[in-house]
Amino acid sequence: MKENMQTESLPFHPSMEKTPLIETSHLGKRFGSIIALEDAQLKCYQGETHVLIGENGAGKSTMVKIICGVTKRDTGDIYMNGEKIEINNAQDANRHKIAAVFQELSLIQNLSVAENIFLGSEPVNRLGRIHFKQIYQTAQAFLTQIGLDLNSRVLVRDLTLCQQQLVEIAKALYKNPDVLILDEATSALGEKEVRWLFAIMHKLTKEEGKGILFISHRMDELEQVADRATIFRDAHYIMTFPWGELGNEEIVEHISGKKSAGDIVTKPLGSKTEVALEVKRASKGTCLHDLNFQLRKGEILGIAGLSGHGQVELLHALFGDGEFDAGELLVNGRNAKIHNARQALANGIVLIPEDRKNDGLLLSRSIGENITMMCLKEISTSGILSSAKEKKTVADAIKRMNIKVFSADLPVSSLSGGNQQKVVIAKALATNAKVILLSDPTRGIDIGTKNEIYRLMTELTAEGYSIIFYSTETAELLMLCNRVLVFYEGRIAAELEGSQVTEKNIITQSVGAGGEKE
Amino acid sequence: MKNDKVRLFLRRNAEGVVAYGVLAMVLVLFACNQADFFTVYGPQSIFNQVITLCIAALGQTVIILTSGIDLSVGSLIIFTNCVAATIFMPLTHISGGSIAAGGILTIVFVLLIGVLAGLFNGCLVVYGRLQPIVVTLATGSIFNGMARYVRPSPGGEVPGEFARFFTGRVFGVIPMSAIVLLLAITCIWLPYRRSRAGQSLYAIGGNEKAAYLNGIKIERSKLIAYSVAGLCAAICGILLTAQTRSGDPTASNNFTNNSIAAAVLGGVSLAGGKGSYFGSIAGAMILSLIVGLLIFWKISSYYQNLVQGIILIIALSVSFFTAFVKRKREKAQAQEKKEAV
Repeated sequence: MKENMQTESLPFHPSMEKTPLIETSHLGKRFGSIIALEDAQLKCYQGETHVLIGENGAGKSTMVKIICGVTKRDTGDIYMNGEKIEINNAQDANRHKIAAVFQELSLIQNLSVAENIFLGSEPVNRLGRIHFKQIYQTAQAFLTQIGLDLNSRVLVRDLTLCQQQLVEIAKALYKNPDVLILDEATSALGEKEVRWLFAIMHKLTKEEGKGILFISHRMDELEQVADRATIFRDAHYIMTFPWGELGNEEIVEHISGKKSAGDIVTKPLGSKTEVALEVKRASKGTCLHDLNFQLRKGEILGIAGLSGHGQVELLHALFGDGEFDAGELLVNGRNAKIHNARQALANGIVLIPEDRKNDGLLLSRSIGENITMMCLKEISTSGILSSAKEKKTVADAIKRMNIKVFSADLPVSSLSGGNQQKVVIAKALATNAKVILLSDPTRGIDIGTKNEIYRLMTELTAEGYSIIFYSTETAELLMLCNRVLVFYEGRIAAELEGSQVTEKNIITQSVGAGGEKE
Repeated sequence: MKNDKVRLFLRRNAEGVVAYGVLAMVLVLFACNQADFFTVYGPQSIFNQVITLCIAALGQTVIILTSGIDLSVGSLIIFTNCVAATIFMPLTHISGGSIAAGGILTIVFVLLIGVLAGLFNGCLVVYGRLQPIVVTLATGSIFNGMARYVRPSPGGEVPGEFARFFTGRVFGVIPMSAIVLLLAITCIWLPYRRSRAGQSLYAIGGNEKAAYLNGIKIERSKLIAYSVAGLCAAICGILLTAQTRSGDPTASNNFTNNSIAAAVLGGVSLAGGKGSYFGSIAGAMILSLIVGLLIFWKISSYYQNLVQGIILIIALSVSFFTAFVKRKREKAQAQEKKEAV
């Protein structure tokens, strides 16, 4: 794949002799006392996909946010084609043909796809009236042209998260940017959509000579697209290198600044006889059909499949959020009725939702309040919150989870993504639940924290916890799970165990190519 | 494709449909109770009853769409009403005794006051970085105080011609109030909704940060929105002046509460970014006409608020129940489908 990209016949390939398309030097940014970026630099040439790597809070997001005008820089300069430019807000970036797609969606839910694509740059007539008809037609033609099967008149709120992300990407592409920034833009996409995006990125860079700044925590994605990479660590620029020059081990070393511990994880097998949770003939609407499976005590049961095939719905249904229409649920061998989250908790089941910012946390409340949110009864004495018990619970949780925090009284929003996820997990562990449903817990999280979460999961199984683990990263499932359920169109396409758990099997089954195997 | 468009239109305006259903029921009750309903007096009296709240609801809708709220609208209506009643005759004298000229001068002056008052609200929200609810609570008190300053006691003089012009009929058939409403729709709401400033309302109300990231001029859009709201309050003040032929700073009025209720009834989300003025019109008509129904049924007007509150709750429950029924039906269909397999 790499050789093919460097072929001379392609009109554009990154060359160091040219002036960089976009260049930053000595960029600095502080938020209060926290340094987000210091004396950092970046050079991206025409025809190049430049990946930015580093842990969460390393400064890569701050870097791209400064370039696209979301964050205002304190110090430093930005150059485009060798000329110094001023970018102080989103309009400035637009004018210089810089467009960005972020992990957090910036779509307006109650407007249509087309209205969102044109937002802020609607064509108007002499009287200032927007040409709505033109907007819909142009948007529809554009969506078809870039190969997206979406109706431009549909409201964004009626789309799935994955489709919304595609609209977000289409919106950025419509601006025909010279510099395209993709900050974790793939995290909500399924594998098919990611392939679509990569094909477009290839066309933009290699055929049209645009520059792309790409951020992703998925190593396999970086491998597919990267021409060159810049590593950030602790708000500082570390190094830039042509992709392929450094091995994965070395990259991880530079990212973390220390020797990586390597994968010390061993797969927990779980109990042969004891079953923590059993689901029989469960169905729900049009998204889940006839599910039958057991969760053994002390195991990590993997849930695989392309995104949007019922995995998230299953975990939420088990937690009483959008219950099953039919079927039986047995907890520790006893029939359980779970219609809401409270009943799920009473049955010892807790969910760590995929959308931690909206569903998992009260962002503006303190770390301590978030951790104790689900166990208020346990820390109360005759209905009154006991501050001593609260402090102890919070302190234990912070220590156990190794959350990097100055004070538990700070709002959760002050933490980095990885530490926020640790708070969500701490909250779940503060309950009495012994069955943990993990819905894509490592989405948008740095490698260091990911490894901590993996280690924690295996530790928990040793303590008697049982885990259902849905992940969009197949590599994680391969590493942690002895058994994996592959979902396809709301059904369990295959139950893989032991040596059957291979990347090839999971991928074949998740595209429905596994045949009639059950 | 045609069918598709209709479906998408309904999906977008589902909440408004409920309001028009309730309005239709109220009108049927009116037709049964009002003897002259099917004469030219019927529409005239109906539009005269609803027009002030319909106009007040336009301003409120615009503010709510930005996810703000305007608690000053009632006081601003009273203030502009008092100003109009006070300056009408002096201005008529200045312009040589012509009531038409005096009326036009009054209208222009009052509308200007309204826009400036709205802009003042907007500036406090945008540049003062204060919450709309706090700003308009405070400015509402100020406008009320100013009304009392302008007209220490109820009164003022408004010529009957002026009153008859705004409450009468054009060509003997079309109620002037209906024309005013039509003008409000065609000259204020539609051009505004279909401009970039109008599109920004929905963007800002839907997700202000996202709107900023899309390069929308948030400050300008909000200033325009509050100015439009001020303009609407002033129009309402003028209509009130024509209807009462006086200015009364002590009058208690429900314009603030009712304009919010009208918008909510019409499907405008208090969270912002969702709804349309066409829904609010239905909401405003329902709330105004309820009062008329109470008179027919000889129920004391003391219970007006009680009935309006109940209507509001019932109407909002309808949209909740339709969603509930829809969910049940989907569940049943899924079950059937499963059994068929």
